[in-house]
Amino acid sequence: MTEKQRKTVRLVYFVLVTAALLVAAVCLMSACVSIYRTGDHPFSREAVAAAFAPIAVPVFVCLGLVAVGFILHPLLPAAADAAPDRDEVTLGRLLARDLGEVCNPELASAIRREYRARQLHRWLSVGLLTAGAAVFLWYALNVDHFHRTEINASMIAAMWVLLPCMGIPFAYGVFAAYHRRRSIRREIALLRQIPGAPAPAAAAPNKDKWLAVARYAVLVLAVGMVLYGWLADGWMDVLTKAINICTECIGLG
Amino acid sequence: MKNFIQKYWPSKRKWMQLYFALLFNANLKGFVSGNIYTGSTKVACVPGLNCYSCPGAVGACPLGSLQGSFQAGKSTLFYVGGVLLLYGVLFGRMICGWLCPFGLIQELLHKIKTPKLKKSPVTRLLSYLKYVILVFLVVIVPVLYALRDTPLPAFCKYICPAGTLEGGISLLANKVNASYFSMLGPIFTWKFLLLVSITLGCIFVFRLFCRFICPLGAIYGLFNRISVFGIKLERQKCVDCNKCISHCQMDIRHVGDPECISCGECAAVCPTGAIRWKGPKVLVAPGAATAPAAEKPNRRKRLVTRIVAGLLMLAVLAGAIGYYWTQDSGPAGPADTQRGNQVGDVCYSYPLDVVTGDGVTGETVDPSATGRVTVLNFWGTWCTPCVNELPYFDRIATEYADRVTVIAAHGMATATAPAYIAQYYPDSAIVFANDYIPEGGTYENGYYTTLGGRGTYPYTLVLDETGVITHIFYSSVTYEMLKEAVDELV
Repeated sequence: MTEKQRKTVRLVYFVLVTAALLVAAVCLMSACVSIYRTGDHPFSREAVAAAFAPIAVPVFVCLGLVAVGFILHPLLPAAADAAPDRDEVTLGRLLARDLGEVCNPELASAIRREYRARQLHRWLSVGLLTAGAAVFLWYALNVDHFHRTEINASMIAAMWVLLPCMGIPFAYGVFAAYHRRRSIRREIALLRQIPGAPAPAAAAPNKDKWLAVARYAVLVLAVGMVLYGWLADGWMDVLTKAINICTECIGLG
Repeated sequence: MKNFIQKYWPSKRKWMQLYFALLFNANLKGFVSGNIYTGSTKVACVPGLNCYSCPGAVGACPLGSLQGSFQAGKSTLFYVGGVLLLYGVLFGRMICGWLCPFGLIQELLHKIKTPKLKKSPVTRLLSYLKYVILVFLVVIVPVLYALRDTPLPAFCKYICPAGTLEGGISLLANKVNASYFSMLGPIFTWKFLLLVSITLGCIFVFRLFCRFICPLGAIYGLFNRISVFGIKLERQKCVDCNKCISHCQMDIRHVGDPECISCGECAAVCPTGAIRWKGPKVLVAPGAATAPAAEKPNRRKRLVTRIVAGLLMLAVLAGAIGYYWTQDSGPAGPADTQRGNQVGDVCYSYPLDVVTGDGVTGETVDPSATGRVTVLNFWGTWCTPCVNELPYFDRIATEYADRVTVIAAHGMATATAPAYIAQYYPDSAIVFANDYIPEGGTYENGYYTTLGGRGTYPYTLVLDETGVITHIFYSSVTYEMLKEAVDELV
C-alpha cells in the first residue's frame, strides 16, 4: 500500500472513530440527563438499566471501532512528526550576539518594537489576571456569599463570578501567546539580516546547593508535621473519612 | 505478530503504574462484595489520586483528606499537610507519572487511535486552571464551610471524576448496592456528565485531567525542583536543541518544571545525555536514563538487582492482595435471630450512650425499646448531608414531642459531636447519642453496620412503637419524607 493510500485509510478511520466516540458520549450523557429529568425519584437499579439499554448499540459499535484501530495502527504507520519548534532557542542565540555596532538604526528600532509589543501584551495579561483574581477573591472570601444550607446554589453563583474573572484573562492570554509566537518569528527574520554567527548558549549558574538546602528543610518540616499530627491523633479523622462512604464525594447524593 | 507485541508491550513505566494501581486497590474482595475496606491501613494517604470510596482502596485519598482536615482540626491538618509535603519533596510530580492510578487510566484512554490535539499556547494557558481549582475548590470553599461547621469537600463533590468512576460507578455496579440508586440526583447527573466529558477529552488530549484540572498535580508540581527523585537537566551538557520539549506531551517549558511528570521519555531523545534521573546514588546509577546499553556499569549486577527487586515487589503485591482478601469486611450481626435490620423486622437492640453538649451523660437509650415511634438517624459532623438535614429531625422532634422519639446517633463517636451539639442544638428535642464501637470490637460491630449501614451517611430508620422497622432511608431525607413516614405510624 502506498503512503497516499495509507493516509486515506487513516483519515477515513479517524473520521469514523471520532464520530462514533462523540455519538457514544452524547448518548451516555443524554441517557443520564433523561433519567434525571423524566425518571421517578427515587430511582431503581432496573429503571436506570432500562434507560441505558437503548444506547448499548452505539457504545458497542464505538468499542468495535476502537478495537479495529489497535489492529490497523501497526499496519499503517504514520509519517514522522514535524521538526521541533526551535523559535525561542534561535531567538535567544541570535540575541546573545553583540549587536550594538553592526545593527543599523532602522533594524534596531524594528527589533525593539517587536520586543516592546511582546512585553506590553505580557504585562496586560498579567494585569488582567491579577485583576480577575482580585475580584474573584473579594467575592470568594466573603462568607455571606456561601450559604450554609443552599450550598449548590452558592457554588453555581460563585461559578458565574469565576467565569468572567478567569475567562477574560484566559482569552486575552491566548491572543497574547499567539501574538508572541508571530512576533518572535518576525524578530528572528529581522535578526537574521545582521551578519555574525550565533553565540553558543551560556550555561546557567549552578543553584544545586540552595536547592539541596530547601529540599532538606522541607523534608524535616514534613516529617515534623506528620509526627505532630500523628501523636495528636490527627490520623483519626482521616480514618473516619476513609472508612465511611462520602456519598457526595462520589457523586451519589 | 511480533510487530504487534513490540508495538503494544507495556513500557517499564506502564508496569509500575499498573503495579501501584493494583497495590493501592489491593482489596479485590471489595469489588466482589460491594463493600469498601474499613480496616486500619486507611489511616495512610496514598500518594496518587485514588478515591477512598473505591471498593478496592486500601488507603485514603490525599485530596479528600486535605479537604476534610480543614474541618477536623489542627492535628489532622498537620498530619495530612505533612504527608502531602513529604510525598511532594520526595517525588514531586513523579507521582503523577509513575504512581497515580488515574494517570494510568488517562494514558490508556489516550492510546485509543484517534487524531490527537497537540500542545499549544492554549493548552499551556489551560494548565494554570488547576491552580485556580486548587485555591478555590480545595482550599477556600472547604475552609469557609469548615468555619461554619459544615464539611464540604468541594473538589470531590463537584469535580473529581476519580470518585465518580472508582467510587460511585464501582459501587453502583454491584447488585448488593441496589439501594444506592435511590440517592441519585442532580449531583450524580452533573458528575456523570463531567466524567464522560473528561473520558472523551482524555482520548483526544494527553492526560487532560492531569494537565488542566488535577489539584493534586498542582501541589506536587510546586516541589518538582527540590524533589529528591525525578528528572533533572544538566545545563552544562544541554545544547538547547529543544528536542525534549517537543517530544514531551505535557505543557512543559523546560525539563523538571512544575508540569513535568518525570516520565523520563525525553531522556531517550536527548542527543547529549543532558537529562538524567536525580536521587540518592544507591538507588539511581549516574546516567542510567541515557547511557547506551553497552556502557552501563556492572550490567550483570544491575540485572540481578532488577530481578530481585521485581520479585520483591510481586511478593509485596501478592501479600497485600492475600491479606485484604482474608479480612472480614461484612457486617457482623448479633446472634439474636428473632430480630433483624430489614423493613418488617424487629430492630436489633443496642444501648447507645446519650450525649449532650457537655459530653457523654452516662445514660443509655435503646432505639428498639423506647415504646414510642422512633426515628433513628445516623449522622456525623464530618458529613455535609447529615448536618444539612439535622434541622428536619429537630423540627419533627419538636412537632411530635409527645408521640415520637428522634435519636441522632453520631457515627464513629468522634470528639467533635458535643461541641457541635452545644453550638447548634443546645435545647433540641432530639436525643443525641454516640454509636461506639465496643471495646475490642471492630467497625463492623457498631450499631450502624449492625442495622445494615453500608458505609454511607446519613442513614435513617423509622421504627413503630413495638420496635419494628417500617422505613429505611439511605442518604438524605427531606422534612416531607420524614413527616410522611411518621404520620403513617402516629
